[in-house]
Parts: sequence; C-alpha cells; structure tokens
Amino acid sequence: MSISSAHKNDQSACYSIEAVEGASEFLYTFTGCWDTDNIGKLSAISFPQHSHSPYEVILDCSQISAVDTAGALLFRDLIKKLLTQHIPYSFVSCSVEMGKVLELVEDFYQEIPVPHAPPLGISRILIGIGKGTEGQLKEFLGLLSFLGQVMCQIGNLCLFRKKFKFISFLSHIEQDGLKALPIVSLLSFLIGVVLAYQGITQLARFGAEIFTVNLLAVGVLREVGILMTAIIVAGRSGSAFTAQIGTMVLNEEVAALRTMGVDPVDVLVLPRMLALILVLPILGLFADIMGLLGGAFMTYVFLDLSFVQFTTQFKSALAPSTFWVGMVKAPFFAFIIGLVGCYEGLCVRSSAQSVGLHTTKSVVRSIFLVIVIDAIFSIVFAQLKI
Amino acid sequence: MIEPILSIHNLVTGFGRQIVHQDLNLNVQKGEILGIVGGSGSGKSVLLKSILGLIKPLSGSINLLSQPVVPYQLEASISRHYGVLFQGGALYSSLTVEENIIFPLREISRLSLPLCKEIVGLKLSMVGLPAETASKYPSQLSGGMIKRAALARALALDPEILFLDEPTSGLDPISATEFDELILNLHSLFGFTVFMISHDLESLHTLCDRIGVLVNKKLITDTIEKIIQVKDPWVQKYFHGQRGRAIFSNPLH
Repeated sequence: MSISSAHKNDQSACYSIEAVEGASEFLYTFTGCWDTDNIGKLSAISFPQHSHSPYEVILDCSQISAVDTAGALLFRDLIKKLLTQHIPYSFVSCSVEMGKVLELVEDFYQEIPVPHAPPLGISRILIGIGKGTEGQLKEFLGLLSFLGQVMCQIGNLCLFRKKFKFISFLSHIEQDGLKALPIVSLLSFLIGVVLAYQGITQLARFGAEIFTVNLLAVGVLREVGILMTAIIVAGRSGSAFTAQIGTMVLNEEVAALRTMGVDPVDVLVLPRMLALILVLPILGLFADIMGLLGGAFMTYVFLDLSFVQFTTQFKSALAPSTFWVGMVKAPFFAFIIGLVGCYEGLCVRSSAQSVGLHTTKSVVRSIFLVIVIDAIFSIVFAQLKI
Repeated sequence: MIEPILSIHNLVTGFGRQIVHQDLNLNVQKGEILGIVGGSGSGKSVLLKSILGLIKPLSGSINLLSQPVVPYQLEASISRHYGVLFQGGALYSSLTVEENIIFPLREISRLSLPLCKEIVGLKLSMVGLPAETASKYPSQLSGGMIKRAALARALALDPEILFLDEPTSGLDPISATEFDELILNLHSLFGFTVFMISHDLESLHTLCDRIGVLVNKKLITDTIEKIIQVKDPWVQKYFHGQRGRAIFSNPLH
C-alpha cells in the first residue's frame, strides 16, 4: 500500500532520514518513498544516544511520499525500540494513509517462532547416524514386505485366481525391451571394443595377443554383457517405473485403484516386473553378441585376425557353462530392478520433490543391489567351481 | 477519466484453427473487484494467462499497470506490482511456507532477511494463518490453508492488482465464506484491484463490483443487477438456475 502511488515508478524517488540533535530532543525528518523498492538492505532505523537525558524523539513524516508494509515495519521496530528504552516520542504531520498502514502492521504483527536449533558437535553426528540407520532399516523392511506382497500376487496369478493384465505386459515389453535395444547394443559394442583394445595392448607384452579372444569370451559372456545391460535398464526402466507410479500416487490414481478393490500390485507392478524379467535376458543376449562383435572388430583391425580364426580361438576358450553363467543372472537382476523401481514409486508422498527423490533412490539402489547380487553369484560359482 | 489499471483492446487468442476470444475488450479501474464467469472451455483461464503474458495472443493489445504486456518476457519491475493466486495454490513444494513467501521478496527486492521474516509473519496473520504454519511444507497443509498461504505469497510485495483463479473452488462453504471475507477485508485495507475467475455464485455476489461474462468469444461486463438481465441463454441459465435464483433473486441487493 502506498500513500501516493504516483511516485512509485519515479526513478528519483528515494528515502532518507535526517537526525538533528536539539537541546532536549531528537528531530527525525523522513523524506521520500519508504517502500519495498526503495528501502533496500536497510533492516532497522538506527538512532544515536542523546548526550542529555531525559530527551524526546520527534518523528517528522511530513515529507514522506509513500509507505508500504515493509516500510511500516521499520517504523514499528523503531517505535518498539523507543518504547523499551522508555524514550517518549511523537509523530508530526503523519498522514491519514500512513497512520492506517502503521495501524495495519501493528494489528497483524506476529512473530515467527524460531525453530529449535539443531544440537551441536558430537551429539549431532550421533543423532545423524542413528536416524540414518533407522531410516535405512525401515526402508529395507518396507522393501522386504513389498517383496512378500509381490510374491503373494505372483502366487495368486499362478493359481489363476487373478486376471493378468496382458496388454499392459505387452506394452511394457515394447517400452522396456524393444526400445532399449539400440542403446544396449551400441554401448555393448563399444565396451567390447574397449575391452579388446586393453587386452591387445597388455597381452602384446607377452606376445600373447591371441588370448585377447579368451579375455573377451569370458569377460563379456560371464560378466560385462549382462551387467552393462542391467545397469542401463536400471537407469532407463527402473527410473521410469518410479516416476510413472509416483506421479500416479500424487494424482490419487493409486488410491482410486484401491477404492475399486483393485490391488495396485496386480495392475501396476506385476506387468512391469514380469515384462522386465522376460526382456532382460533377451537384451543380455544381444549385449553379448554386440560385445563380441565389437571385440572381433578390434582384433580384426589390430591383429589382422580373420573371422574364422576368431571363432576357432573363441570356441577353444569357452567352457560349456560360460554363456549360461552370465545368462542365469539376468532374471534376478530384472526382478530386483522391477521390485525396487515399483516399490520406490509407491513410496512417493504428496509432493513433486518426493518423485525426484525416490527416482534417484530407485536408480542408485537398484544398481547397488544388482552389483551385490552379481558378487553373490560370483562367490556361489566359485564355490561350485563353475 | 483515470487511466484503467488493466485494459484489453480487441484481443484475439486461439490455438491452431480454434479461436477462443474474438475482439475482446475490457477495462478494469483501480480498486474495483471484477469477477469473470463463463462455461467450461469458454476461455477464462486463457484470458488470465494472456493478461499475465503466459500465452501469446494472435492480435490485440493488453495494458497492465500502464505497461504493454509482452508475452514470455515478464519484467520483474512490473510483475512485482501484481500478485497471482493459482487454482491449486502453486506453492513450491520443496520450500516451507516461510520460504515460499520470502521467495518473491528476496528475488525482487533487496530487503534484509530479518525484515523479510517480519513481513512473512505479518502476511500470514493477515490471511489468518498462525505463525507455526511458517515452518511447514505445503504437503503438510490442508486445501484451505494452501490457498491462504498462496494468498500470503501473492500479497508479499503489496500488489496493486491481485489475480485470483477460482479462489474458493475445493473449499467447504464455511472456508469459502471466510475466504471471501478475507479478500474483502484485505481489499478495504490495501485498496488493491481484484481480477477474479470464479464459479462460486455466492462469492461473486458478496465480492464483486462488476461481473464479466464470457459468451460467444466476447466479454460482457456490467454490474450484477444488469448482467443477470442480459438476454443470453447461457447467462439466463447461469444466474437464474436453481442455485442462482436462491442468491440473486434477493431484491435487496
């Protein structure tokens, strides 16, 4: 609110205070615009101590052209300071409008409670660790109970107690499988190229370049092909699951499903997870082929190894189980990516920020779990001597 | 004649082949409360967005606070003089209520932080929210509180004109009546202009000096008494339907 808005767009409109010390009084003369645009960084009107005591403060407002709530708050603070120091004050030619604004500010003034200051030092760190641990534990339990829910619904599905959302299943096969093919193929090809190049340069020192093919066969088929695929799919589809389901939670679509007696796990989670379990091994197979092609390309360029020679060496490097050791991991990776993606989506609560937070969590957590599972498989295979 | 605070001259807006407004004219004087009504799809929101420069009109001119509105190029020096209350509140969900209200203050003005905090307390109390609300996040508030907090944010910079998009929709009748009284109170305190889109006949009746009806791609504006006599089938149905009769048939108003 302004007393005279005509001055608002005036560049020269500015504020100033002049304090003149009299015999037993201070005369403050205020001029110009006391509004949000003008008062700038000024956070309080200062007043110097008078040399004589007692004294009076006179506030001359006759030359003030505009005051808004921000300006009025400054006056309120000044008056409050004068009151607490028991200094008498009086306004001179304060306009009706300005009086109104001052009154308005006084009427509605309320202080914002200062939030509890966080504890300092060692206790703060301990509290942080405690809360973090509790949060992680809770989320782990949540994921575990969600796993139970999903297994129940898969059981129901197997016993033909529930209808399966076949169309949604197909559409997810397209979304998460078919459309991921180009990027998975390209990246696997490049990984094959990189792996072969490193193999060639290192093994050349021993004159054992030919064993690059063995390195490729074991490396790509057992580990890299399927791991790369899982990581790409976690970034691509896992995040999409979380964002889709999370937005549906925000939009109360999930609540709507529940009110219709439909379990969101049936409609939203199972088609996604089962589609992923089906397509991830296929994507992995593609990744293996492309990775080997990338390697074969490099050995052809650098070692002059023909395709036939490559295949002969490749066959000699393979144990019968090598391919399946890699491939058997794919459905487990797919299961964990789908599970975490959908679980984080259903955890979204009430704000756009929450969608972002859970999408990040979903990707980080599913990649983490994929690598953990991969490590477990390695140990199991080592024990079984495969 | 005083220059109107908002004037629209021969506005034409549309998307593709569909024309939403055809030669629409409007003048809003300082200090008045104007309510806009119209059927679904009649272009109420499009009109508001055109005025705020969020949509590019096909032709015509819009002057807000004596400055032409240039679409997509919103100058803080002008937008600081108006406040907008969006339908869903549009509070930033990652910020607390306090930070939401401080946001325009810190972005546009150079006010010091302590003063900004005092302004937050003041505006919250004006819209009838307790000071404890300040530290809460929008997701922790009820629908009515979100609208009040968003209104506090719109009022942060002491606007000269306030745009309200369906301020009472989604509120229970008691909250809606309280909200109307709040707007009326603040209007008498600040003397700002209000441009309001609403379907709440009750709040149109209590608040508005004039009503604008969007029919046939044009805007007919007049006082309530005259608008309800306009010979248009939609207007007749709107104001003389079962709901309308109960409110507008009272001859005292």
